[in-house]
Amino acid sequence: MSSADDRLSVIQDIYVDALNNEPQDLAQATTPALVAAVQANVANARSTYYSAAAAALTSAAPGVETAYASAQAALAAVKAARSASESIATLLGKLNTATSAGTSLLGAAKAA
Amino acid sequence: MLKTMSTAVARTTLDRRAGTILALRSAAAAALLGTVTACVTVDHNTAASLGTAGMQVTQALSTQATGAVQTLGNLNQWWGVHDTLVCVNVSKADAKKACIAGAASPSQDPSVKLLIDVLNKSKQATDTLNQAYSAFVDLAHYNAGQEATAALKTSFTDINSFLSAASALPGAVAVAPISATIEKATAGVVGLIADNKQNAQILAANKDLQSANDALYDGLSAESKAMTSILMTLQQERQALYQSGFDAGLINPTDILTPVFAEAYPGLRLQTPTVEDRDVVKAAAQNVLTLQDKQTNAAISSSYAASLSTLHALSAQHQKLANSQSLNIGQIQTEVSNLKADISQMSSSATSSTKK
Repeated sequence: MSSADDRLSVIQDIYVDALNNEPQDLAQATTPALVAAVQANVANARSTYYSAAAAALTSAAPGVETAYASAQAALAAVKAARSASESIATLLGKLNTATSAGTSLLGAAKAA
Repeated sequence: MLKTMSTAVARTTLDRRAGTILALRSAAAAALLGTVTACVTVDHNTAASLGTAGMQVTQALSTQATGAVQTLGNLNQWWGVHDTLVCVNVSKADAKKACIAGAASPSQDPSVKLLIDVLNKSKQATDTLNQAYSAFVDLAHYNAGQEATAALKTSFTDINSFLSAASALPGAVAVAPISATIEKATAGVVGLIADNKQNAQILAANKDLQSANDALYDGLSAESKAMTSILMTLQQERQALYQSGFDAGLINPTDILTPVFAEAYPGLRLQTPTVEDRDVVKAAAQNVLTLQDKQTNAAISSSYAASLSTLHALSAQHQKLANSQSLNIGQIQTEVSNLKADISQMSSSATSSTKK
């Protein structure tokens, strides 16, 4: 069973990964839409992280566990995609999945 | 008639004074007996060392919280700069224009404000304990026995001065001044009483400090992982800002390499690299940044937990002081030194990120 600290750690990893890779992701973005997608991903991951840190994630519930597993899997997918140098379109899809999973995890933890 | 009255007043006064001296002697004997039967011993130097260690640990925790609050307060500005500068990585003109437009003026995140409020409360609690430890050090350093003895000596001098003056009055009977032996014995007893009272105060304060220490430890340790996460993320924000300035060409790689060469060869002045070799110099500077970031991140991840651990260790020393056992202040001082080194590493990183 994941702890509140585990969940915060996953959400943190999603944000830091997006932040540190933003230069490379933007370098691959050749259209305004792709740029906007990269920026939105970082902004959402950032907002989710600081909200999670402030909430301190103090409780756990079954729904939280599912969201936690999803967030972990999504982050792993993003990392795999980066190392495989997948196209920016594919990568953005996985980035979006990871950030959304982080947001869901935060929501589930807050509701628990 | 007038002379007779003044002589009577002087005699009455002398009688009272003689009674006071007798009472003082009796009190001294009683006090001596009481002191011997209920003696409270405290090593003041040890207590002061314990208090100093408490001040240093709470100061370390406060410094970390202060740094975090300051960084959180700057985040909005940092994001505004970083999110725009990072657009240098976009190659297509229309995409770059969209990137710059999309980065304009990020709004204040309400969660950041909430974090600032929470950290300020935590810092306030830590600072209050720091002040309590400071007062404890003052209490331990204060030599109550010596102060009381000095005050009593002044009072004896005043009494003898009075007796001398009174004996000069017409018709007065000469009263022997308080002898040096009595002065010494009584002063010793008063000193013991004062010391005993002070030691009791030190022990009471020690108990209160231990309770406050335990309460702060419980509160801070409950949020330890979250706090470490925040400190680490703020460091990542700092590094991302710096990296964006570096990538945008705002930061001169030579400035980053200068201190590295200065350590190996003091006084060396670096030249501006040729245009062809600038990418190589920039890569070397990037390696320095990466290594510095790793060191700082390692310091952050360990220092907060270490601060709490040291705070907790202090509680055990409070208990030893209460039990009149010997304290292991040396170990705590070593831990505090390590903490200071970690915090110094983090501070130098912050300085290098903003001033280089």
